[in-house]
Amino acid sequence: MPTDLEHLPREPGVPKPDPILVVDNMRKRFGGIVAVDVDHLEIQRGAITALIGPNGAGKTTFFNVLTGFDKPDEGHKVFDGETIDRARPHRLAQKGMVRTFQLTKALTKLAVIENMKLGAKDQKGENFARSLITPIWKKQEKEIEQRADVLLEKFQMDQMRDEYAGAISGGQRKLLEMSRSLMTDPKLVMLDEPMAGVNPALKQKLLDHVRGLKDQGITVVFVEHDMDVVQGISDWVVVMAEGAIIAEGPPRSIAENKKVIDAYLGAHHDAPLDLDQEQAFLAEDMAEEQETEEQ
Amino acid sequence: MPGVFGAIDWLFIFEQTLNEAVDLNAIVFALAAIGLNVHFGYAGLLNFGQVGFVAAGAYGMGLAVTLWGLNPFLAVVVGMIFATIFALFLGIPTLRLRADYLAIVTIASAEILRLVARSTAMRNITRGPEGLNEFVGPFRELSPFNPSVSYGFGPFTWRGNQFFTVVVGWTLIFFFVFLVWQLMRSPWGRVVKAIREDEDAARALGKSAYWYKLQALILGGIIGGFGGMMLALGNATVQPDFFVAPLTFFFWLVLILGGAGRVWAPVLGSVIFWGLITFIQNLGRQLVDAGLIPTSIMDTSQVDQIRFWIVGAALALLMIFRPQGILGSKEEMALDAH
Repeated sequence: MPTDLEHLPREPGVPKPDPILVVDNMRKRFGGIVAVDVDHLEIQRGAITALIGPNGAGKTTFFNVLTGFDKPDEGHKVFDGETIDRARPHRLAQKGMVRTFQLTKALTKLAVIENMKLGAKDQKGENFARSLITPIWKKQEKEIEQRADVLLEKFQMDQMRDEYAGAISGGQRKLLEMSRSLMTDPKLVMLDEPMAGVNPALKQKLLDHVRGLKDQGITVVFVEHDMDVVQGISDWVVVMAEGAIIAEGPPRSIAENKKVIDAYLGAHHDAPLDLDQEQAFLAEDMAEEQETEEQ
Repeated sequence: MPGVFGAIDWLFIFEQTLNEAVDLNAIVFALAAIGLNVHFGYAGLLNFGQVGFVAAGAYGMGLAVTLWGLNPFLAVVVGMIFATIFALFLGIPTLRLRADYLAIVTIASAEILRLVARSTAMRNITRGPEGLNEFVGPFRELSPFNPSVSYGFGPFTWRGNQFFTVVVGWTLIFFFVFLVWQLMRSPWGRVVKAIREDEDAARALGKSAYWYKLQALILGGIIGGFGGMMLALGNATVQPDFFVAPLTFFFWLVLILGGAGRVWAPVLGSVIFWGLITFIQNLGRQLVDAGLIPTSIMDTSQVDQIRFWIVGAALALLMIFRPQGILGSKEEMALDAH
């Protein structure tokens, strides 16, 4: 329960009442650079946890390590009571930990509905021998399709169900990726920058959907660097900088945390900006936004 | 120039063209390209050693008879096993890596296979460069057709044994086209196509990309292996030097001509390729013979080389004006351009 989280000590690595994911001593190095250096982290079941941090903080690498896409140099992780140190990504997905990607991975030459159907677990027709005999998988296929249609309608994507996923807009692909991940019946959804490159109207919609996941009892972890987004939606915020977790707490406490502000803005942030600096910051922001949109 | 072309026997040319378009070569190429279509067209695997699978099938079947004296049906099974072993050998180390590694390994392994088969050290087994020659008997005993009688109609006429090969070959083609069609409309095919589009997305949704790629490699390899078995059956011989690396690229040509990722594409590509080659060759020869092309420009022996020039030019034009191939979808092709 999020209300319980309010009373937890606001320090990195604090134990949660009912953790779904526990990480211990996780390290990942790329050459001389330590990309991930997390001593202990627990993710509360049923809550929305935001993972924030400035660019290059190691959020995505940490995500990759958690979801099995990158192998850590050392460390342990326990998901839903089960040690998953060596589990490959597809195994984790089967166990109920599903992720999305910062650069959306729509399967461009498959129709939107086929993208959705791919997500369903335990499909009989995915076995080579059984796929040869249509009656074995036809009924299940229909059920999956119905479930996919319901989800598409919920995400207001039903009018594009038969279009190629490569032909829909970037924001719609974000929606598709999120709804497709729900087809796996996840316990934990890990969203890597779900709002990146999405227009403000769609952003609101995506936020509503993330809240909707929580209402269904699904745990959500998402990477974000927009503080406003984080404030509005998350129950708990974890802040990373230079690979380590520097702060944890409810959103309001984070906004006031001096360490966090320093990590984001540099130690001298409180000196007023002159006009040139302000323009330089704005230009940087715009360039970044454009970049994410192009992706 | 009315009447100039009167010197040319058009009927003969068309008969030859139609015959070659469905004969042994077209069958072998079609089967090899169907396998390649499973690899590249559906699973996105860059296999530049398809000729190695063809060789594995041919040698497997041949050796099963010459070396172990197995009956024809078991010999076919051995051919399939050889192709499977080749697929495992290539796939297990490379399919966890990026796509280009498979490409590198396949092109080298197919050559290694040929060189080992023709080496003197293997003389007792593969008969070195001579190849296998005494295995076709038991297969021909299965033929219901009389070797000394002609079968068929019009340009499609074969002696009994050849007719047997053509019938078996086209039966296999229809069978494998159906198999691929069924697989690719099933959830299995959906996973395979998803892996072609984005492997990590498929993995994130709980599909073992490695396992499905391995299955696709084996399946396409076995189908290519059947191409090799048909070749062995039709020619009554397995010659190592037939399985040279450039042959793989003709299989690719056939597949791209038809349009990768379409069930009938490899078959159509093969038929058109062999029809075109034969048409140009016969027409060229007759033009030279009739003096319409002076020998100062070209003689009959040069026609054989010119035909590949023309096919090459035709393919280049196809890539410019119809890059998706004959059966391919322009809409899908456009999705790649982001």
